[in-house]
Amino acid sequence: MMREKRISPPLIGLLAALWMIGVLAAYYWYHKPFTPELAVHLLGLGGQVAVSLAVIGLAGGLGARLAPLAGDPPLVRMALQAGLGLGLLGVVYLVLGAAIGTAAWLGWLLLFLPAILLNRNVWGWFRQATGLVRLYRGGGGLGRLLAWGIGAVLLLALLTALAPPLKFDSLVYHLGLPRAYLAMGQVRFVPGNMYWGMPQTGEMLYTWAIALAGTKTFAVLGWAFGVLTLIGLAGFIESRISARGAWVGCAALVSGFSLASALSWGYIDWLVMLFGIGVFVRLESWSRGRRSKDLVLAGIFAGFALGTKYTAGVVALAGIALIVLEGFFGPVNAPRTLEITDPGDGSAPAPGNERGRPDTKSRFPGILRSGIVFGLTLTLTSLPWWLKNLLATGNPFYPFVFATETMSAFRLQFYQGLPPWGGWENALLLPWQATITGVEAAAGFGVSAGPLLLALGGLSGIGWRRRRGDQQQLLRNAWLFCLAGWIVWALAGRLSGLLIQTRLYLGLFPVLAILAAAGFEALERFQWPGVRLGRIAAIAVLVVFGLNLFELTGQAVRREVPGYLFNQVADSDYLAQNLGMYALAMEAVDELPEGARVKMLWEPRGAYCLPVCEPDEILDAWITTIREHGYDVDAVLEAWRRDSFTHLLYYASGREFYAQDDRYLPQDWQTLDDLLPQLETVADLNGIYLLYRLP
Amino acid sequence: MAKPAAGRETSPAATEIGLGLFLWLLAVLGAYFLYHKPLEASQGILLFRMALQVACALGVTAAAGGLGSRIAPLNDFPPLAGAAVQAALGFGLLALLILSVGAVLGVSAWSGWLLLLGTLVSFRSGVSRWLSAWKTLPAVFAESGRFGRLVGAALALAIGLSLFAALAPPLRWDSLNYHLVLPLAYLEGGRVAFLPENIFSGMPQGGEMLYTWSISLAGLETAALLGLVFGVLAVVGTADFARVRFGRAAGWAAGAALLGGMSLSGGLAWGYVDWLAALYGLGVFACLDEWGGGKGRRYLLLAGALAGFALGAKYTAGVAALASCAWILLAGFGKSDQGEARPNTARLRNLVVFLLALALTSLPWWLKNWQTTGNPFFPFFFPTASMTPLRQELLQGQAVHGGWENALLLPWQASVTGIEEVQGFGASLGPLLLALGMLSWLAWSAVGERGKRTLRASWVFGVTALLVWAAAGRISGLLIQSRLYLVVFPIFGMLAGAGFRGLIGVPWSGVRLGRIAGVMVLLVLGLNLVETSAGTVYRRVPQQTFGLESRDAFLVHNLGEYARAVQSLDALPPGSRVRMLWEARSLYCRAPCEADEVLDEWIVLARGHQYDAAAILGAWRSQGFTHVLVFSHGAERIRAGGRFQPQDWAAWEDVRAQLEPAADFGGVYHLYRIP
Repeated sequence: MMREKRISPPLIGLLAALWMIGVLAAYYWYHKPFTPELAVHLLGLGGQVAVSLAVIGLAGGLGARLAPLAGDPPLVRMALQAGLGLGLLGVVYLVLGAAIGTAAWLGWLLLFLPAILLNRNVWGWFRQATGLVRLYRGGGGLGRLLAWGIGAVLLLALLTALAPPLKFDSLVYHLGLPRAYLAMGQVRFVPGNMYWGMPQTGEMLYTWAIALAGTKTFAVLGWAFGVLTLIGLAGFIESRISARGAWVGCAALVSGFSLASALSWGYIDWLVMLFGIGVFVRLESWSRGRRSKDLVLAGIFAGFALGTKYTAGVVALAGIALIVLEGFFGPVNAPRTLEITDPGDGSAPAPGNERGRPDTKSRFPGILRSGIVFGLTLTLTSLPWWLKNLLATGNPFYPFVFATETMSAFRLQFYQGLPPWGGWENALLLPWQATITGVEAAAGFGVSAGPLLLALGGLSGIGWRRRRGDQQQLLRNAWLFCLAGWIVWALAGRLSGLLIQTRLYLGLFPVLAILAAAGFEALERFQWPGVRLGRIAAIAVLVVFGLNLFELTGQAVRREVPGYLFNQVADSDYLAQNLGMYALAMEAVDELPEGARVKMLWEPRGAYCLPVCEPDEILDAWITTIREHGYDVDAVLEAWRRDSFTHLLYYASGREFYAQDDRYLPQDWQTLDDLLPQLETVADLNGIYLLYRLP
Repeated sequence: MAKPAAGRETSPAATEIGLGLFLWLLAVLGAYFLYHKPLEASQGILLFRMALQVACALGVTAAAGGLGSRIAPLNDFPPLAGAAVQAALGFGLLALLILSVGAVLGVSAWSGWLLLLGTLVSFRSGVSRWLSAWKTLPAVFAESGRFGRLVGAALALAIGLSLFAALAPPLRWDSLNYHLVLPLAYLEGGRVAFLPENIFSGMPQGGEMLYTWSISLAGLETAALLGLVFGVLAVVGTADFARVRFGRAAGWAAGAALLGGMSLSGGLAWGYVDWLAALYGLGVFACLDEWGGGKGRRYLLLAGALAGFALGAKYTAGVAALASCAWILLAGFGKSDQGEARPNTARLRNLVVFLLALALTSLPWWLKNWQTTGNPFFPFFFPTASMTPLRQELLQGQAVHGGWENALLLPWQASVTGIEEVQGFGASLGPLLLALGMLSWLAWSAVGERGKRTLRASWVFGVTALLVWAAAGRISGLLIQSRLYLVVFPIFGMLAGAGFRGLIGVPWSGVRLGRIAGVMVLLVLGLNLVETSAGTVYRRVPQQTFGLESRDAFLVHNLGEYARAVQSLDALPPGSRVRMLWEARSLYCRAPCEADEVLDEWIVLARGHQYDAAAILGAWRSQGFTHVLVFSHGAERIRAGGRFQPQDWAAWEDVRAQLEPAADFGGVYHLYRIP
């Protein structure tokens, strides 16, 4: 809006402004656009988003201070710096939370003090987001369409994240543990929840976020992890393949229902993916320049990944495989840096792409040195979590491997002894099986990953000879990384039925998205006389993405997310709508008199009743208790009373689910049937949940 | 960023490899969706139905645009405003065609498709020209500044929300009373005919004809979608006109002012005819503005024709014709572009030309009424067959709403105190039309000669319309309603745009007033979006759109016991016929029912039969009625209003005592069997 020539004295300006303000004020006096309750509600939601962004901004600023990463593209830098900051802040919060406590004031202090000190870095970090504009403009028609689609997926996920959390693992421990810490006022051992032994970088950040702005903030923070991952992924693909490929890669990642939906779950898988891309980007950089700094950073990211989720160790193993194989089969004389802007018209291999014969002896010391650097940094950054376990339980790998006081040998066997799921085809044809037969919330792979990672990633080798040298190296590294991950996943899946789940290996998925982008780009360049294969692939991408967006939107609507956001559906109604009788059971627990303590059977989700209740976190509470007490009902009751339990919440449908489980003996059920009639019923929720008072 | 690798992959076996790659893609996607069904079959059908409805609404619009483009190239118009006016012209002509053909040959799905395809094919070059005009829209958006893009995005969101609302079953009173009831009755009867049981069939029905056509193509919601298109065309046309006359920012402000109120943006999806009237109003004004610039009498003819179409869509849209007359008579205030003053005789001649064109295009509606009822202005002015003096008195004799302040301070009162669904002005117009429109004089020195002429015409139009509105409001309480005058709102929108343009140039001690005004415009749009979104969610429109809730459940959620009551009529035995009392909405009656369309049925019947219960029951029986559905709460409200006399109610109690209760819907509605 340009200023025009002067047409009237300033008085007119004043009068005009007063007139407009007067009309607007009078209008809204008569027409309230929303109720005060809705305004407060919306402000609360806005506050949760703002706090999450502030935590991310601080992490980014801290990361920028520690690792300027000047050679990286801005968007990659943005993601990696934030990842670095988040990993460090997770550990810092563990230490502070254990030593001082989890009070809100400490959370605000931890947010503001460093933010003031690092304010330049924080703003500088935020400014790098302008790279998204260039990425948008460079994406062409397809890229722009996908950009809007990805924006819609992210918006949907954010709105869903602002509603009360619903997903199983969040209610068991991702939210359950932070709520327990906040209730105790300190990060300390929670003997009633064996998931406490899992590494908890994500949970530490969630505890902090909840301390700052309430329960739902944790899911918004989880959403932000996803946004950062996508930003980093897009930036990396843009710099190494193309802007169009960047949008396709990101779309491939979120075109699966589970991954897109998981943005709002308050899980930690997207944080693992953020660290996963950090590991790969740095190792890829190392493979081109052999700089130790890259190895150190890769090790740090791998350590953070392992410090977030045990199974994210697959990223570390894939990283080691990459170091070893790249060490053996990489360029004979690796240059300090391999020019990634090498134009390469495809007629001749690019410099630095010459592969020498493997010379094991001469290469071994270098490989060993690289492996040690990577392994040491990995160990150092994940050490706090092993130490935490060691100090609290005597077992650094609690709750696995060794029996401890709260994790008896029987419990260990009960938890880990799940037979492998499916046959060997699940290992041999893992990518196909996981993609095609994996269905969200179903047994087995348990994830709807979307078809694009497989469909496009499987074609990433097309047109190999015409690729630039740096692209060939990128693809080789990505294949190695994924192949190693595949082998680990396949073997783990044969060890336990639990370990086949796709979700446990999501740290590898950003690299799969890179392969999908490469596959798409190869299809675009492929000339099939009379047919534009690239256009067909683009339509396929849009159809798959559109269907997923439709499904996601339908789910949000079915869950009443819009109604919740506009304050038309209360928290309790939202939970009842989505969790059914469980939500009513939680209300019944909530209404118990002060001092009540509830033992739960076959219900592991305790987030909404902590610290009053003790959930049955791996559904073994009954079998463990009854066998420990020799099927003596009185002894069981006495043991519960001794542990200060006053009530029992019995999930009858949960018991039904285990009725055919051959780990249970008829005696186990008979004893339960003997016990229940001795208890006084406080609430009977359609026979699904029963709340009893202990005598 | 690295450069993309050059060249495409070629190899002697390219065909085989290409086929292999294609099959791989197909296999993975096919296998994946075999295991992962993204939507249920019912959702797929629903999506297809919605897509068809949207396509049909757009098809009808393209046909109208093509026809209009063929008749009037409007090369002097701003491109989008021209396209909007061409569509208006096409709509008006097609409505008259449907009236004539529908009355003589009949209306049905096949005739609807024939008309659509026939028009599209016959005027294909016009359609193509008309469609190509819309290519300007992205360019206009792209060249806009941050303010324009933000306003554009907010307007797109508001229209998007209305699109979802329009795809759901209609809910609003007048649609359920006549805008959509009449089209359905015509389609059911296979012919456009006078319906004595619904006095609204005497109103001019330019909109209803188009709705009949669109419903015949793809179902009820297509009408609401077409209604949305009317509004979008009116808003885009107004904004484009203001953009070219007053500047880019003024265009966006004009659009924002028109959709800154809940009633105006929400009204896009109601399936009413007010936005059609507004579209015609824009056309009348734009043509007169061109004519005023000395562009020839054809624009005067077009303006007259469009004013006739407006009158043929809604009686009260005649205000545009009155305002036009004022402008034609006062046009001598200014000179033509050639600098010639217009003599008085010329003014009168121009007026006659305008009125002749107006009369010609509105004549079919008067003829229709005259032929069927003997009263060209049915149901007003003269008592005729089904419109007795008592009914006319009840209909027209509404007490004046409020005092003289409503007339003297009309713009303020209508904007500030008018609230949607509240008696009186009955519409939430948003504050921008008033706040910015009243500052339009600030633009005088900031715009060129062309802009000045448009500004002058807007003032004459606007002031005349306000005078008519104020006077009508003093005649009847019904005539104060803002919605009745939507035909002139595009002109108010243009004035708001001019006001915004003027504010940009006002110096105020270093303060950028234009920026403050921009923030206010965005604030108003934002608040309106929050309110509209909350309303959409509250009505459970998303659940309906995604096929997660049945149509009946949606209606019950929004219409409450009324929906339960009319849905229960499905279970009545064959041959049943239902008389409704104090309930005017009959759209969702699947059993034959006759609504109490102006809520006077009882009083007319009771007084007509001297309060004799047996005679009243006998009259119902002789008309074939087997049941009576009573809106008891409505009756109580009318009773509390004291409009009827005690013996009217006493007679009702007598009759009710003799009826056999059949169903009670929460005490709100009662269904009785006639003994």
